[in-house]
Amino acid sequence: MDSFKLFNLNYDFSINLSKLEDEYYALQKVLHPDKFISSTEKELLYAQIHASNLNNAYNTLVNQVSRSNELLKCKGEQSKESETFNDLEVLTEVLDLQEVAENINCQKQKDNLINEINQTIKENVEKLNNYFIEEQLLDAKKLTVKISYLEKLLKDIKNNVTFTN
Amino acid sequence: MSLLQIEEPIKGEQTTESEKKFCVGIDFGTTNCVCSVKIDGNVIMITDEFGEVIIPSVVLFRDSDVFVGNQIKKNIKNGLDNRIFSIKREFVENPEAKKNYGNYKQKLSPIEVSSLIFKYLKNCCESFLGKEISKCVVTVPAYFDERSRFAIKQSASLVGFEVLRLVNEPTSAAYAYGLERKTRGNYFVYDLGGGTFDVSILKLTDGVFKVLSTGGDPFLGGDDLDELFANKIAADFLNLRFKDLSKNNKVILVRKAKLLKEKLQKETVLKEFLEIDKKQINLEITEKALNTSISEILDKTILISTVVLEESGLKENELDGFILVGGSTRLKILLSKIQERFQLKIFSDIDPDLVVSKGAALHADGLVNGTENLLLDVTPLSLGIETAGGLMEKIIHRNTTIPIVKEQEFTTYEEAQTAIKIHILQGEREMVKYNRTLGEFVLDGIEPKPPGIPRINVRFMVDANGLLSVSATDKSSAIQKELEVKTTFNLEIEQMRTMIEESIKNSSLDMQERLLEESKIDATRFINELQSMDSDLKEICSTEELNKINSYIQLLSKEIQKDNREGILDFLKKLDVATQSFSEKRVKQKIKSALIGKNYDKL
Repeated sequence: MDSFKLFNLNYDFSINLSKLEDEYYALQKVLHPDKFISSTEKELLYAQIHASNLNNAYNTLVNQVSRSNELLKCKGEQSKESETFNDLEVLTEVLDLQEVAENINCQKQKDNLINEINQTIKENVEKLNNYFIEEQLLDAKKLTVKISYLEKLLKDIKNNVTFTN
Repeated sequence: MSLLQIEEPIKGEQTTESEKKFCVGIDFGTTNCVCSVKIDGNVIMITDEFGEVIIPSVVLFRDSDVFVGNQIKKNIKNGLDNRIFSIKREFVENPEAKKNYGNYKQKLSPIEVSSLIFKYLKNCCESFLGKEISKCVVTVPAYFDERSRFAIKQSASLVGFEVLRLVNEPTSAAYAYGLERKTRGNYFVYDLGGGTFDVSILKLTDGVFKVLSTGGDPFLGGDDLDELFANKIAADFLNLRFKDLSKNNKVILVRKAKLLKEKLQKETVLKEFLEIDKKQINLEITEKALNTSISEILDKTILISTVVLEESGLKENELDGFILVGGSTRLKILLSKIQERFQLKIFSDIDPDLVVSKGAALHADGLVNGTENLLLDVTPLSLGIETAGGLMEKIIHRNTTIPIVKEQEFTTYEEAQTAIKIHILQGEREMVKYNRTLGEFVLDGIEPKPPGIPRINVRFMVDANGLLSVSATDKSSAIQKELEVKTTFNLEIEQMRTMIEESIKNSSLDMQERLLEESKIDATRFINELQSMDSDLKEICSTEELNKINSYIQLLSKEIQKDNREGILDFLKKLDVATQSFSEKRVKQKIKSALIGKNYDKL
C-alpha cells in the first residue's frame, strides 16, 4: 500500500501536515505494539510491522522530496535506478551554489547563503505543486531532483562549513 | 482501511480495581535503583526491608552469601573493598565477558552480576506488595546501544522478570511530567545520572510522546563529578595524586567528595575532617573549588544539548520547557549554566532521583491495564551493514522512530559468488572499523551467477525496545537466514564515546577513504567482468582491440595496488572507451540469442 492510501489521502502534492500528524498519532495509538502487550507473539509481530509501515509512510509524506517521489511512483512516473540525471542547467546552478559555499568566510555570509537557498527551495516547491496540479509529471520529476540537490547542499553547508577567523 | 483490521486490544477486558494487574517500573541505574508501581491511580514508591526507596546498585559477596543495596551498609563493617559498583557501565564494554569480581571464587559476567541486583529488587517488590510480581518495565539510558539494551533485558529475564518494555530514561521522565500535568508542547529532557548522560527532545501531543532527537554520553555521570572533585581534594589537602591512593582510600575520598558536593549546595565554605589511614586531616573547602573542578564536564553536557536541539529541527523558542532528571541536576552551578544557555522554563519539581522510575510505573500500568497514552522512541545510533571495501552502509539512520522495518538490496561482487557475509554494525562513521560490530552471519547457497546479478534482500527490524533483528534472503532462491543480534563483538570503549563526535570531525577524511575504496571496487569489478568474458572478447574483438584492452587492464591493476585514485579513474575511463564497441556487439548477440528463445529465463 502506498503512503497516500495508508493515510486516506488524495494523490495531491499539497497536504495538510498538522492534520497528517494528528492522523498519524491516532493510528499509532491503535496499532502500536505497546497496545498488544498481552497478545500472542505473532500478533505482536504484526503490530510491529504495521506500526513500522506507518512510521515509514509518515516520514515519506512529511519530507517534501520523498513525498514527491512517492507521488510520482503512484502516478506511474517512477524513476529508474539506471536513469542518470543530466540536466545541465540544474547541475550548473547547484555547482555554482556549491562554489559560493566553498568560499564562505564568515557567519553572516553563511547565514545569507542558507537564507538564499531556503528561499530558492520554497519557490521551487511551489512550482512543483503547480506541476502536479497540471499533471506535468516529467517536469515535476526533474524539479524534485533539483530540490533534493538543494536540500543536500543546505545540509552540507549547515554541518560542514567552518571558517578559521 | 485494511491497515486497521487488527482487533482492538484491551476492549472488552473491563477490569475492576481489585483485578488490575501489577507491573512494576524499575529504574536500573548505574549508582542507584528505584522501583515503583501504580496502584489506585497513584504511583507508590517501593521500599526495601529498611524502608529505603533508593537502593544502591552495589553487590558484595561474603562466603556463600550475596548482599545487595542497603543490606551492605546496614550489615557489613569489614571487607568493603570487595564491593562491586557501577556494573551497568560494563554493559557498554562487553556484557558477556566473564571476569573476577571482588573475592568471589567464580568468574562472572556483568549480566550475571546485574541479575543478582534484579533478583533482590524482585524480592523487595514482592515483600512490599505482598504478592508475586513477574512483569516489569525497565528504563535504559537513551544513548545505550543495542547490545547493552539486550543485556539489561537478559539480566532481568534471568531471575524470572518478564520485561514488557525497555523505555528510554528521558522519555520515561517526561512521561511522569506530562501525564501529571496533561501538557502539550515540546520539551527538552536533560538527564545527568550517576553514570550516564542523556538528552532527548520530545514533542507531546494529546498523550503521544514522540522523541524527536536524542544524544548523550554513556561514560559521563555524577560519579565522574565526584571523582574529579576527589582529585582536587587529594591535590589540595593530601598533597597526593588521586591515582596514587589505595583502592580503599579512593573509595573513602570519593564518598567524602560526594557528601561535600551535596553540602556545598547549601553553604559556600565548609570545614570538615577527613579520616584516611587513621589520620585526621582538616579540610577547608569552598564552593568555588568544587565548581572549578567539575566545570569542564558540565560544559560538555551543554554542548551535547545544543547539538541535540539542532538535530530535532526545532528552534529554541519552540521549546516549552527544560526537564531536569538525575541527582546531579541539583547542582547550583549546573542550573546556572543551563539558564545561561537556554532561556527556558525549568521543570524540576518531581524529585530528580525518582522521576524516571515514576514514569516507568505509569507506562507499566498503561501497558497491562490500557491507556490513551503512547511513547514513540527513536533509535539513538545508526544501524547498517558492511559493504565491499570496509564501508558501512546505513540502513536505519539514527533518530528514526521505532518500531521500524527497513529493507535494502545488495548483490554479489565476484564471479559465481555463492556466499555473502552479513556484518551488522552500529555507529555513525563511514568506515566499518570505526563503528561497533553487533553481530555477523553468513548467507550461503546463493546460486552462482555473474557479479551484480543475485539480489540479496537484507531486512532490519528494530522493535519498540530498540532491539534489532536482521534477516537476509536470496530473492532468486528464497534462501533465508535470520539473526537476533546477540553474539560476539569486540570493541574498544573509547569508540562508542567518540563515535558521533568523530563522525562530524572526520567526515571529510572518511570521504577521501570512501572515494578511494569506491574507485577500487569499481575498477576490480570491471576487470573481473572482462576476465570472465575472455572467450567472448577473443571472438568479438580484433587483435589490436584485444591488446589495447589487456594493456589497460594491467595498468589499471597497478594503480589499484598503488591506492592511487586519480590513476584508477583515468585508466577506468580508458578501459571503458576501449571496450565500448565490444560491449555493443556483445549486447546485440545476446538479444539475438534471447530472441531465439535459448537461455532466456536464465538471463
